[in-house]
Amino acid sequence: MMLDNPIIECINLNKSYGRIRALSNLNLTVHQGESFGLLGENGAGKSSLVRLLMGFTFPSSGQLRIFDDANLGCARQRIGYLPEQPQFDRQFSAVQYLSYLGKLAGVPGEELRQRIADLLELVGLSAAADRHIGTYSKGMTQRVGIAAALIHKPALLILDEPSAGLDPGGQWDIRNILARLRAEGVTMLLCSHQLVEVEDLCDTVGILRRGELVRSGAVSDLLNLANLVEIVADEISAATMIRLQAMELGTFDVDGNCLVVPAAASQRVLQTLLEEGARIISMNPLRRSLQDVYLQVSRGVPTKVPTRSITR
Amino acid sequence: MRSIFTITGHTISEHLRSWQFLAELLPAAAIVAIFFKYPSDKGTYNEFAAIIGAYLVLQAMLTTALIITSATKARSYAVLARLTNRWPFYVGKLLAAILLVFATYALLLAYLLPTRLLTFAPDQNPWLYIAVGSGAMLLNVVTISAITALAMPLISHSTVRLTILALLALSVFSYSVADVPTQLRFLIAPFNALTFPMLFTYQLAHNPDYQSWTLLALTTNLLYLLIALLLARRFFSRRELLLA
Repeated sequence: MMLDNPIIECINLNKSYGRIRALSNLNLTVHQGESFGLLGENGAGKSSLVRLLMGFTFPSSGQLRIFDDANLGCARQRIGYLPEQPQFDRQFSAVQYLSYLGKLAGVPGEELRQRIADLLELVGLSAAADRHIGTYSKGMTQRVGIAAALIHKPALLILDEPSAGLDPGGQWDIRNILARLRAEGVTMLLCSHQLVEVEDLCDTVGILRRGELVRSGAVSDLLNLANLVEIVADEISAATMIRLQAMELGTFDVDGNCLVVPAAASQRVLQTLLEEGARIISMNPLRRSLQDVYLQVSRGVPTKVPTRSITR
Repeated sequence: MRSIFTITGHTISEHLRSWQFLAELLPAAAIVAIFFKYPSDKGTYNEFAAIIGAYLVLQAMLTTALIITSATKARSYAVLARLTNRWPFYVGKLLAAILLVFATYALLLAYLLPTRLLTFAPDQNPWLYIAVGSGAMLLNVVTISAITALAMPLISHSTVRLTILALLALSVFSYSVADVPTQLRFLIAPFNALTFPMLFTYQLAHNPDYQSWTLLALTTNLLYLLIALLLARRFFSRRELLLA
């Protein structure tokens, strides 16, 4: 459940590397319990923001507050961080490495042992717990990364490309783990190229382009922006088409016996179809895919006629 | 403190598991073989102090460089993400490097003393010489390790690194300059003075007699250590970490 109190606040945040501007006047808020997806092409500034949040780099100007605290060092104790393509000491087992990170996070002995066992169970690594990480597959290493991020029961998870480079099965597993965490109410900032992952896991999305936040909002709002309806009839005659075209519906698309029209005009269109003797097979509100929104915002590609209905 | 010791322990374990410890063990074994085991004459304490004193300084530089370089990898993000500040990470790594060099020295002593490959003159009190000599050599190890760490890319930016290297080079070079007119000696003196505390400490390991310069040299050596630590703390805390 999303609450009002902000967990991450970026206020006019700027970050430059020499003459290259990585983030430009970024204003972003992530609330408690919210799952925020950050999208953007390579070099858009996603990883720059993550490094700033984790205190690995410093803002050129602007403010950054986590847990209402400008001292990110203190806040870090409550953050679980999964770097992009996490790397670990290959000579250690998952148990040894998690134990090391747990001790650094101040998790006491017996609790740490239990926590490691629970996390390895959660990420499906119990059977390989004592094997050296060097023998793990990419997907297994990614799971160790997720377990490492959760070792101290963080209130905020920052995940940088959690399923990058994984096969579809691995992506599915990671998504399931994150969905469970989301259901438990963990606040998440998820940077990803996987639009399906973001669409499934996030309540809110921000799209970065060349360091600027060009679009943000609730996923449902972004996807329903078109406010269109898909009507499928058994047959649409030429005479019906002529009548519909004369109605000046604005957005209007026909694909065989399938019509896409603005929701506001759907009643008029239905009436026309019925008057022309067409049998209505289905009528569904449509929404755009996140990919449509993303391409429109990040590349300026015009919105195509929506292709998915909500009841797919 | 707990974080520091946790990082130190893990770093030593990582060093041993990755076989990087051979960087300490092989040179130490070579030194024992070349200078103590196979020569027909037994090694004297003065030879020991001269050879091991120099070796430990080089070893401190190598081990510290290896450990800090290992820390300049993306895997350090997972560790740094757990710490409220970077200081325990730096000290933990430095302490690991120092302890590894200390352990190498302890191994050398543990081998050379019981096998009587290291001998003392009749007027030399073995335990006094070992105690004072070890103290002096290990003080140099600590200072050199701290300066080496400070000069690593993870800790300082290039301007600082180049300055440290230039000062060290000029200081070493200043000792080799001969026939300098008296009027120009003031130009060389500061560079002589830079490495003087370490060289004097090295000298002290040979001959553990208290001299008028001893206290000043040891104090300056400790001051160098303190300055190196403080500078590292300042630079590292402000360093932008873009690890790969």
